[in-house]
Amino acid sequence: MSDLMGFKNAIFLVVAYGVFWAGTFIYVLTMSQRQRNLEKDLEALESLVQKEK
Amino acid sequence: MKQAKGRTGTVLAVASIVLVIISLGLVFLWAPTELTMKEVQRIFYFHVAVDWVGFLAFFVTLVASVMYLRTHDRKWDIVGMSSVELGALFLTMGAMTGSLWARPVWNTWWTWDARLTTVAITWLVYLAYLMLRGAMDDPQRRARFSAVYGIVSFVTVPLTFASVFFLRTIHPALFAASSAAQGKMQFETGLGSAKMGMTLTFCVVAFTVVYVTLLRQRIRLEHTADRVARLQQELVA
Amino acid sequence: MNYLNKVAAIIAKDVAAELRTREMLSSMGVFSILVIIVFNFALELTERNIIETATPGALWVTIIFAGMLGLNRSLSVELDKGCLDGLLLTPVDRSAIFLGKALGNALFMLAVEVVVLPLFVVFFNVPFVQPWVILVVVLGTFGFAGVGTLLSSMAVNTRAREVMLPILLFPVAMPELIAAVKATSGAMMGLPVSEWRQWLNLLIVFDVILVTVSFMVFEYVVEE
Repeated sequence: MSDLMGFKNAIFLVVAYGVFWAGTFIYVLTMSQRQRNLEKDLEALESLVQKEK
Repeated sequence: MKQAKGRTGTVLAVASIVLVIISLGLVFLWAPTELTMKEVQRIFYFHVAVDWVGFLAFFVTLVASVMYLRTHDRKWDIVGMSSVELGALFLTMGAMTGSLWARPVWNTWWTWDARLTTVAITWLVYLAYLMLRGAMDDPQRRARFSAVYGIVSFVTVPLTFASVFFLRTIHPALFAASSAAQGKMQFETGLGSAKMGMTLTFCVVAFTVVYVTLLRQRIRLEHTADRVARLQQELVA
Repeated sequence: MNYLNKVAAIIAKDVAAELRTREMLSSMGVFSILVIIVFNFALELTERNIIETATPGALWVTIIFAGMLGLNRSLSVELDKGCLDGLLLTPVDRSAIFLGKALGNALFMLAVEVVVLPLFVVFFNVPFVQPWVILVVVLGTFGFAGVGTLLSSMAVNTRAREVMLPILLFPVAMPELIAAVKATSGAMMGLPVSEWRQWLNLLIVFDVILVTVSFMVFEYVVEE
């Protein structure tokens, strides 16, 4: 009987860890993407500034 | 720009991943099974670790806020803001995992006990901090106001905990339902409890490392954004 | 002019300005009455013990909402009319400005509470007009006005203006609110002070901490 409860509740366990993974994953991905975009902008801008000089 | 990340960044990232993998192993393979809650109890390890980091982040913001007011150096503003962002993320995950643990065990998604209330209030403070920043354009003023709010709002964390804690001790009847449900965790042997403790400690350490890694990344991101903005200014001028 | 005189002067200025138009006080007052009436219907306060449990909370909700109206008004007027800039040009210690504004705001809230407390007695038949309850209300008001003045002076300088204040203030004022409601409840039921003294103590501690911290950081808000 309690084993059955354990099994049903396993769903919560899975979802809980899913939450953690999803959250961290999304955050890290968003940050990496922003970082890459910004570095691209940076390179472009720096070459522009060089040209001006 | 690869050199900006540096060796420390890579080391931390690798360490984070390794520690988290080991934590998972400990949680699912080594930690004992709790007697009443069975497997669901394993949520506890990551849940507590994440909550702990969520509060640690506030302390970091407090220090950064004080340092900003003393030095007016943008780098402290960045630290404070990044830490709040991460703290908000971690507390959100903490609250969600906590709910997912509470539901099967206490048959409720939420209770207003001292810890959960403090988590909720801290989360609201993080939100307020970020909204305050969002509603301000002038960078110096924004930094100053954020720092002030970071300092003033920090006190609410222990105070909220204290007031709800007293509420609980003075009016236990109010919390009867969750009190009864919130019984201690039990393991088959004394060794079991010890293993639980060690697993928990390891998870807390692992997540602190994750936090530091992500914090550095976020700070670095913001510094890059600053440089982009400065160059844009220069070109326009 | 010594420090206290400066503080008093700032309070006097605010009070005089308000007495001329009475705009803020009347809107706070009317708002409070409306809130009380809404509570009456929203909470279905029919049974005696429900009334006794719910009214301290209803009282404080009324107070803080009306208080926020006042805080917003008080500081956005400063901003619009450039009074704050004027004050900052004078050789007044920044903390004196804070004390003056905070005490002034507290005074306005107290003025409204003079109306609100009897209203609760009249509408709900709860013994709010008695010394201990009044003490609790006064203490809670000072704490709320203190930290509220600090946060409001920040809020009015944002794009979101008045909307920002509740967002900033509620989480910070929460412990004080909890203590105030429990203390009011104890005081109102005529329990011996020893039974609810912890709440009174907590309230005082919160007030001291919040007001002191606000006092210390205010200068960073107004510095240019």
